[in-house]
Amino acid sequence: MRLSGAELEGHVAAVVELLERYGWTLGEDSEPDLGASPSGARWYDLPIALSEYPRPRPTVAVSEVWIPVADGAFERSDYRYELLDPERNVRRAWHRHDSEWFARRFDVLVHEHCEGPIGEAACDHYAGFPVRDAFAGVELVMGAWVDPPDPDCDARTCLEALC
Amino acid sequence: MDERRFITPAEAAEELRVSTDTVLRLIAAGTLPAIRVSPRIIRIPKPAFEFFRSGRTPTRRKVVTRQVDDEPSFGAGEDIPDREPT
Repeated sequence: MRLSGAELEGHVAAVVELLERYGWTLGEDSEPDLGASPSGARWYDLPIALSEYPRPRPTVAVSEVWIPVADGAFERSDYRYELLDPERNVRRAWHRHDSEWFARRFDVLVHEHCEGPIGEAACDHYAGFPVRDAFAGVELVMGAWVDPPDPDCDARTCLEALC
Repeated sequence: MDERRFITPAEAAEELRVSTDTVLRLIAAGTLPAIRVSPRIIRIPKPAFEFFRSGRTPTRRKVVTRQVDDEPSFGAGEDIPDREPT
């Protein structure tokens, strides 16, 4: 998917709107701005919380990097869709970043994280599948929060040779 | 607090006093977000249902592009030896 700069701003607004429909809200003092880096990339990082929930509250991160391609358009290059669920002590994440390294090392472009308890991963990177876009990423994260309580990390395919 | 975190379309219909078909139409329209576990199993997260029932509507935020000095970097803390220093 290619988007112009203006369309990209609309994309971020639509992602925030979807999260609000799910009942999750941007952190206080957070603005859903797009960063324009010196290389020309556009990126955003949305820290989201379930505000009407007892502490420690679950949090979600939705972040994407879009790189310039032809004709002033941008394509998504990296993403991070992530859930931290302190109540269940679970972290789930769907990532694409450092693609060249992952392709060289594991012959994949994307990976996942699965921790239960949080901070104690049996595997640094799990095999994953590409997430179509931020809306699909939000649905994955919401699905992980809703159910199941046990992410069953051991059932996943570990990319690391040490596992 | 670790009770069930979702309700079914039938339960939502009962709460709203409408038919299950109406709830399914709201879900199909994107007005009421839901997780499609399988073609026949749909789960509505409780916060989404509460947001809908409250009558609130999401605010369409204005997003502004701002120049920043740094390049974005994801995957902090991951063991990626070839990463360029940022």
